[in-house]
Amino acid sequence: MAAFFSKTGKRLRKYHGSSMIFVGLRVFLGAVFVYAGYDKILHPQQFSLAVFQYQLLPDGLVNFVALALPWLELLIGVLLIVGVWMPGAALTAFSLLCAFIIALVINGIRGLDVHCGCFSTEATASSAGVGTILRDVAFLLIALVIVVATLYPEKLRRWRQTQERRNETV
Amino acid sequence: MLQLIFFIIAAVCIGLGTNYLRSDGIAVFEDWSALSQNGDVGDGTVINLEKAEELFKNDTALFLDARPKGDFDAGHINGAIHFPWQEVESSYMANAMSLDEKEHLICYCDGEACDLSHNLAMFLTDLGYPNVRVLVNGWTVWRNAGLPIE
Repeated sequence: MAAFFSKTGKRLRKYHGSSMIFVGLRVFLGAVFVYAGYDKILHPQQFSLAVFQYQLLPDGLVNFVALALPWLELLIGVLLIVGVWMPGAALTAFSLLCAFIIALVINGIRGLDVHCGCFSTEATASSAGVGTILRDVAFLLIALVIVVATLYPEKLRRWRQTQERRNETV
Repeated sequence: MLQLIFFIIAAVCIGLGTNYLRSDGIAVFEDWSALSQNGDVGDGTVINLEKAEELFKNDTALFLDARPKGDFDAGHINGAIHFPWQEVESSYMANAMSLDEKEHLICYCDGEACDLSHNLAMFLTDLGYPNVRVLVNGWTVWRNAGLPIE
């Protein structure tokens, strides 16, 4: 497994080492995940209430998810910032954001007035709404770019070379 | 995919491990059923219907309705004050004097997933009111029990 991670890291450095946009996107998304996980880790009781209020999980799983999810966010955030184990980190970030958006849409359809619990467990935090979903969709698009760039670096490199050649001819 | 599974397992292990070590850790598997929500659980904020009824009959509790105005006008617990979470600050300014008249403050809204009453309770607790409670799914359980409404 270590060899796999090491190989992946080398591939990334080879293809994305000079791409400031890619680095900027993954550091930004990583910071978002770290910020999202931080407050939840500090306040597990409040976050478990937020998870419960989504009314999507079996009662017995509410606390379990509330304990593990913030650490997963923090872990993914750190990995995205540092830029190691990228395929898994990008794919996990993408999957998490998909799950968050589905949860928000379901509760929107059900008409439940729940607090997002996205970045803060505070009672005064904003309720989940269309704005929250749009924000998560924006994060999802960033995650998608990172996933594609990470899993298909060869194609990305070829695409870049094509673009560069076009620019040169223009 | 292998990494994804590895990250999930790592997060579960770290989450459960730190929860075990910290002093304010929570139960890994807790019963969040409506039954336990209506009992006196967790941090003691939630009050059950029997206790709320007792305080109501002793006239030692002030009920605060955190729902929007339309719901409050359609019906509410007898003597309850309209205290909508959406306008919590103006509601507080208007009702601050009344809050000191009774020993207990009981917040309620409607629906087991409704958190307006929880939010209001936390707001009032932060302001220093000592005996603030939440009657979960308050309007429905109170009305279904045939207790006084207006």
